[in-house]
Amino acid sequence: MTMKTFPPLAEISDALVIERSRAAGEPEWLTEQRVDAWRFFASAEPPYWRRTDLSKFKPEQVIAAADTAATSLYQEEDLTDQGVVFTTLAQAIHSHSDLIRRYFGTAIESKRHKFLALNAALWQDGVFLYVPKHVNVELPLTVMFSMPIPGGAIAPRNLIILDDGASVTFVEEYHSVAASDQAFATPVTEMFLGNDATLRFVAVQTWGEDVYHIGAQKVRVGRGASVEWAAVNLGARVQHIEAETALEGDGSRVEWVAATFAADHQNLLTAPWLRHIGAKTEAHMDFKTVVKDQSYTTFDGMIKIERQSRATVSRLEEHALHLSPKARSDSIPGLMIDTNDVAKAGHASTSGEVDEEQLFYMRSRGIPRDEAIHLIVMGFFEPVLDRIPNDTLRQRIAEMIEAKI
Amino acid sequence: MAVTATNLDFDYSKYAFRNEERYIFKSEKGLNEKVVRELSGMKGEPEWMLKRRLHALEIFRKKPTPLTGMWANPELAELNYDDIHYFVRAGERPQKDWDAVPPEIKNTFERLGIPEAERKFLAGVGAQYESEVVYHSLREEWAKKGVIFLDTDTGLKEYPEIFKQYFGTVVPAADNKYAALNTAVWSGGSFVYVPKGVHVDIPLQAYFRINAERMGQFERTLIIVDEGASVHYIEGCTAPIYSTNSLHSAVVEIIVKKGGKCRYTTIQNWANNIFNLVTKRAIAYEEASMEWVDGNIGSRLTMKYPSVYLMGRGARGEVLSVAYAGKGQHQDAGAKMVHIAPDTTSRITNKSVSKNGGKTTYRGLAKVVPGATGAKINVNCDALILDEKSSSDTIPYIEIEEDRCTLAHEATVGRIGEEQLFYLMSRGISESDALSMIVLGFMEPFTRELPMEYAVELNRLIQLEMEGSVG
Repeated sequence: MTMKTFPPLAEISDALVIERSRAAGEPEWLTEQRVDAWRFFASAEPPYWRRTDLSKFKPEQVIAAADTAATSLYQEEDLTDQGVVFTTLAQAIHSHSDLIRRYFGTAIESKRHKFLALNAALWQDGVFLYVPKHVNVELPLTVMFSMPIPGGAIAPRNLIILDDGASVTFVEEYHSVAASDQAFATPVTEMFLGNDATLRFVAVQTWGEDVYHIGAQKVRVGRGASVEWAAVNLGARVQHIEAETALEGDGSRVEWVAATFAADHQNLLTAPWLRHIGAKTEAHMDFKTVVKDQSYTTFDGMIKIERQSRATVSRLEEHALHLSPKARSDSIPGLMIDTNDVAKAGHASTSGEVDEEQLFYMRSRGIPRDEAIHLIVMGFFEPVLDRIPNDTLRQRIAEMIEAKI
Repeated sequence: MAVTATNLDFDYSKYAFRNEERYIFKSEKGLNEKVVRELSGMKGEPEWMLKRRLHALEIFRKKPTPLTGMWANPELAELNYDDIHYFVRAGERPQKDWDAVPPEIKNTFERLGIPEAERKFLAGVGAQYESEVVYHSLREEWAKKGVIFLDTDTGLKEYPEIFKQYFGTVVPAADNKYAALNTAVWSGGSFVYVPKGVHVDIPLQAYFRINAERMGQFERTLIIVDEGASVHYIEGCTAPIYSTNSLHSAVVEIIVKKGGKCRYTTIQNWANNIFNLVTKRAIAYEEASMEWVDGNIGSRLTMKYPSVYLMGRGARGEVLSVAYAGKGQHQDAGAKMVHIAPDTTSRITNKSVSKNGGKTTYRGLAKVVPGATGAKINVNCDALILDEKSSSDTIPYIEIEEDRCTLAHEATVGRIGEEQLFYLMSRGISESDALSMIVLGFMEPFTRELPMEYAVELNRLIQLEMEGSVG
């Protein structure tokens, strides 16, 4: 497959960023944002992350796609009559420039670190989804990102906007077969929920074994709106995902579940932030991690209850299961509480091996040890897998987990 | 101990005492090689200690103030290292005879409200006035059993071999900026050695005080509990109220050998302008037990995470702590448990209360390294936030590198329930008494582990802090 690429990062200049943006006919505000982000990327120090291993990452090898080459969209019904827009962001920038301008970059600050700035400067791939007022989309909409060339780099940018009362299921998937060269993905997904909107968001990362995945996701939730977020992280060499739910509107809520399974030498980090801002907001988080072989996972979470919030309910469950003596899991279930008007706030975290008593019980029923461990791990992840709306995808993920055990 | 809402007759002014300063030597403000050499020379220290101090001074200079990162706090930027006296020696020499203790120090004990404790534990009280111990008494039977309980400077003089063998082995100077500072300018503190199989049945107590404006206090405590021995060491702090920032930066090193037991109890009530940056760490060998009981009531900012390194099979570690943060205060306290050997167990229980714009932070580490099979860790943190101006953070670091272990961590944050208050008030209890009762009840798992007179003192302090909290 041939595709357009940028030159290596070291050879990219401000002028080139401007030139490419203008050649694509992008609006001036976007060109300005790109070049501003590029300047930040070019001058900023790489972030220091003590639990994400970038020591073997070679930025000089990054050759970024210069075309929408990695984005595939799937929808099972035509939604144009209902006013739903589901297209690549690169196309939508021409048809929905004003709408995009109003939201683009208002959830995730591009200058938080170098890689987010890189995304803002060079993104080509990505999806734009807009669901108008009170439109209820039944069947899931899916975007799948692949690695267009072995050893390539992509910077997908996704913008999801649900107007008041809208509802939709959106699946974001990163998938590749194993590549022998270092590949790099730095996606950014911004999501906005109007009042009383409902988003079911499924994020699945099943990259091949040599991919570095450094991404950010954030959803801003309006009054009475509701998010169900399910994340599955199985692939990549190194994953660093900063994810955030901001419960801004009164009565907004989130149910947030995640399944991470690391094996071999994988280093997978998830940093979920949950921000309670509105009154009577409610959150339930349930994060499950399995580590095996010499892998290393980190759950670096934070629940922040802002001063102006009232009558907040927030609960985090976080569990790590160790299948091998050499695997490592770190958990940092943080809380920052700036008000006393909290109805309930707390977290629970456990780490440990498979429960010997459970194993013993199952073996006493004639189930061999290996199979018993399979059943326990699958059962451990079940609450997350249950949230995946698409049978084929759920099946595929279940098979990948089975294969990893 | 039972929680009572009776209004205890309590005069806070006795915590705001300040006696006239009497020095024979007071170093210039600021820290440099000259100050360290002078200090070491005045004490007549051996050459190796001077070298250690100078080396630590270099480390202190090189390490940046930890403003961002895992164990950092941006409020440390308020510290001005040049505005602190690093060494003050009081005019008195260490005393063994109670009658020879200067009247103003006796007066200080009087005003602290500890005359009963003093009468009861007279023999066990080691008091630190300024940077050095001026009164120290040891019961005769302990001396007979070979128990050493001295101020650290005397310990270095009289037991140089034990001292050199252990000093700096638990908390090396390079551990953190403030451990380096303490190693460079330490003065005073306690030196305890309990020989094999000896049980010290009455707690060893030391009172610390600081009394000079802008004066730092850098005491160094070294406790060695030999095989099968046991001891309970108690350290309590009260300080006069000052107008400028002051720094307290202690290091406590504890070694508990095979089958030994040690409990270390502290209540700190530093004045609300003092930065209290303390490194407390213990090593527990096979079947040994180490307990930190840690109460943080005073100071502008406390950063203190008592640690236990569980180095031998079957070792046990516990941290039981409470923190109270009122106006302008930040209690950034917690615990560290590092499981290195198999079948080790640990428990962390933390209770914190914030009020009047105060902030509490629980920061902790639970770590299991490869090979520590069968390790068990239990962590519980509960925070109570009493008004909308106050806040509480919880930052637990959990690092598990071994599959055969279990860890459970629980945290809750909440406010006082209206129903609880209503119920108590319907029984004729005033709102402020009801609040006090609820807070004291919340802290009770901590208080009940304290010796009686400390429990009473802590309850009085909390009640006092709760006064005027209504409305």
